[in-house]
Amino acid sequence: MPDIHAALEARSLSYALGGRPLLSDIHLRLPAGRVSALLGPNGAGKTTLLRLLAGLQPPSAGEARVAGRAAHALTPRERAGLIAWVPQHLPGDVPLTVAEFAGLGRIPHLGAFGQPSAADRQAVAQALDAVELVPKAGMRLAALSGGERQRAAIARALVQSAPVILLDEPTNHLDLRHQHRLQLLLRALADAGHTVVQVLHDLALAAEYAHHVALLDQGRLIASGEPAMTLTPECLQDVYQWPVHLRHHRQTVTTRAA
Amino acid sequence: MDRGLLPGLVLLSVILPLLALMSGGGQWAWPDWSDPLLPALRLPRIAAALAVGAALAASGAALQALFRNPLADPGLIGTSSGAALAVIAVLSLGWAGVSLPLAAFVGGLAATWLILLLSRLAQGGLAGLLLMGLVIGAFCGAVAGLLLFLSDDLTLRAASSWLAGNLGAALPGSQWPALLAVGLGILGLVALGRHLDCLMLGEETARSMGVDTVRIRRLATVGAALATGGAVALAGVIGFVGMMIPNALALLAGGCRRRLILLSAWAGGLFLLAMDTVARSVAWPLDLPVGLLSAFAGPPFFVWLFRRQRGNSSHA
Repeated sequence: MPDIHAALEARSLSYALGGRPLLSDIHLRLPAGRVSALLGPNGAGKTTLLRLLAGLQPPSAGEARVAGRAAHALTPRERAGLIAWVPQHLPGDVPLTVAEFAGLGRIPHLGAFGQPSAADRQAVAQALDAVELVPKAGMRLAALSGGERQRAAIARALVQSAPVILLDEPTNHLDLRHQHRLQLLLRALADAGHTVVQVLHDLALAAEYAHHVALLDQGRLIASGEPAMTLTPECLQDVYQWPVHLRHHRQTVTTRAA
Repeated sequence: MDRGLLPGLVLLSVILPLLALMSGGGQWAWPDWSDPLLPALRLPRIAAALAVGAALAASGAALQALFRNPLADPGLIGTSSGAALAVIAVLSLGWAGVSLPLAAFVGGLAATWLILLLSRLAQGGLAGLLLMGLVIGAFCGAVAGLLLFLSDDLTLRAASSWLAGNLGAALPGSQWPALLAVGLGILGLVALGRHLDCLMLGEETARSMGVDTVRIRRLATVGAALATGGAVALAGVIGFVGMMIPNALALLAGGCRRRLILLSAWAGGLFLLAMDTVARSVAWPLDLPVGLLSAFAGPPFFVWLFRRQRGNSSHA
């Protein structure tokens, strides 16, 4: 069962690459059981922050904490039990079928010679159903479209059944319907107790679906909080250096016909 | 998975050993079970052919995942050359008492590790890897050539027949340890299969899935070197089997690595047994090195695969 306390936290987190600071002194708490979005212009440090939160890289200074533990100090197995990671890109030449690929999410639960159990297979089937890929389960990953591959990557993360799910620009290759379906799925996962953090470019999607947003610019945290309070025209104009007009909808979640 | 694959393999597993038993002395005859040559000569040779083919094909399947490159082959990327160099060094320097399969294992391990390290340092991708493998292989070949040049006639003769990939020239006293090395190596690679699948998704994704990527790379290198070292100790350097078999099977059975390693071991053993039966009977009384035969089949296959790869990557 997902751990409701599994929140993510950055404490004076900094990261530099070759002397160039990519993140400076980030203080951030991301709520457990909620959908959070990391926003900001290109090169703001969103993906770097996500990787540090996943513990895939040790920080230059400060600490990223997951469920009260330093993220980069987790063993690979512990990390896989706590965090599922959806990368921005998958290699195009992975020679697996969609079902085999999604099934790799069970690796932390299987021994070297163990065969997947009925429960493992059911977890795969459920995850593929959630991203509407059941009809493609037997197809090779290389034969899918970019959007379908992205959904397969999300299914694999779901199969891992970790309490925290981190996604790097998950809506990148998705069409309108699947963008909204994915955001609804992430909301549903949060309702079921998962902590979801995604890097997003689409401010409207973030405003509509995220419980919590963090706005970054040039490696610094500009604002963090509820979307309605955080994404103000002045603030966005400042960060993106482009005129921004906001129109508020009454409901936070609506799947608009564009 | 192609439906005809398993029945086909089962059928071949019956037919090919039988044909190998029937072929001998330039003619085909129903095996005479009372013939003392059978257990003394023919059966060990069949076992060696199966083991060598299995080891090379399984190692190829694992190395292709490890290097994320379908052209990887223990013969092509220098694992076999490293193993052969170590064996020749032991033979020509007359280090009595050093186990030849052990030397082959250490040599193969060192060469693979070096290629892995250099290709990562150079970051040359597919071309870089093949070049590194080629360079290491050529270097090992040069040193082996020098050692053979400096050694006496008797050593030279034994070594050169074995080096060309000849199952009839299995080094004395090396059969059982070599078979053991092959078995352990293949078993290890099968156990690593799922983790190798993850490795193909990219370093970071694999790590996020709970895979200790450094450890898995190291273990897979050791497993491939064990199996390849055993194969080299049994039959010298045989190229292309490790590349042809897994790639052909991947088309029929998909790329799920554990299954591919198992199937490759099975089909690779049968393939080399068939090749060896042909090599023994086609030019009787000459015993053609089986390595020569498989080397003839290899280059056309390599060209086909390379073109296919290029075609795929230009779509991506």
